[in-house]
Amino acid sequence: MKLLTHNMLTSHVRGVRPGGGFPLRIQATEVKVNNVDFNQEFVARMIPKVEWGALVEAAESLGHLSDLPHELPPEYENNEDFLRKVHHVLLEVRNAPSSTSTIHHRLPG
Amino acid sequence: MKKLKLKELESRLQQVDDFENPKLLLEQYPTRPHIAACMLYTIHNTFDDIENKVVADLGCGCGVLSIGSVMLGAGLCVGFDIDADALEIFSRNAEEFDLTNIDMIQCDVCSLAARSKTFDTVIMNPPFGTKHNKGMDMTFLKVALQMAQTAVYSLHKTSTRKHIQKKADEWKVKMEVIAELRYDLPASYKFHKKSSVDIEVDLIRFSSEKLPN
Ligand SMILES: C[S@@+](CC[C@H](N)C(=O)[O-])C[C@H]1O[C@@H](n2cnc3c(N)ncnc32)[C@H](O)[C@@H]1O
Repeated sequence: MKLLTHNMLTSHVRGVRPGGGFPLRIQATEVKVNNVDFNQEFVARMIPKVEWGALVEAAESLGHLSDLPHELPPEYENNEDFLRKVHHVLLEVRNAPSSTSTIHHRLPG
Repeated sequence: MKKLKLKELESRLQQVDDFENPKLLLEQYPTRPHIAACMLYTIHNTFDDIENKVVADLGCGCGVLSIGSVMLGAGLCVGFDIDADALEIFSRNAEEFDLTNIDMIQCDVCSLAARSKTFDTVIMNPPFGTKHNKGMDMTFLKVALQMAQTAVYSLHKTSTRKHIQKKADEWKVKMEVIAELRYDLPASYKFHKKSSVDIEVDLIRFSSEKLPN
């Protein structure tokens, strides 16, 4: 699963830690990286939708922090260098458990 | 993004492999390339709900709607299906077309709880709920509405339009029938003697009343 997908499916209830089911704990069984075309506009638009802290945490746990800062920098819209890093983490890195990820039992509901 | 013509989209979607051993109980029949192309083309051209958007495809099967969405410029499309065999074919399809803005997740859509409104658009051809799973289409719709920030596009039997309108009113969502289609369903789904039967299907756009557009 890509980290953008992971981020969007995770409920971020403050104060509840991994293990309790939030955020969806990421398993680093197998990490894969593949090339995805860089779309600056798209990445810039995704950033406000993403839970930044959870993204950084997930990237770190997969060993692909890729220099992402813990705090979102101001005025990132035109910072191509930064956006390329975010692109890499959001779309190119994914955890690939040997079988397709079965996540429903870890989600609430 | 270069403009893709409708005909070209349809002919590319013809190369998408579909179910090898369709599972009747899961209502596994694909959206035909012609219908899929028309549907996606309208969503893209009339409503601009695909390009640069995050799209979810609920009950994605072998992925024809996801693949078409990515061809039209979706930033990311995530397919959800309960069946691992279908996702296996989907994953081969994505590889063959060399599409990397695609993700897939095996799960029961009925118990899916995404963070609210994180996807821009949901596009789906849900099970109609004719196989001992009555109401499945409405369950899918409810989940979809919770996930989508802008709009949900879904196929429903025309015969259920009134019922859906009632539900939409109840949930306070705007409902617009944007196309009426003839869908050839394999006969097994209607206990019919002919090899396939045409049923009337609506392509419906649901959006929140409160949204500015
Ligand atoms: C009508 S088919 C549509 C397939 C594909 N979207 C297409 O357009 O070609 C419905 C799909 O929903 C899936 N499905 C049925 N019940 C499901 C459930 N509870 N959760 C997730 N997927 C389900 C089936 O496996 C099947 O692939």
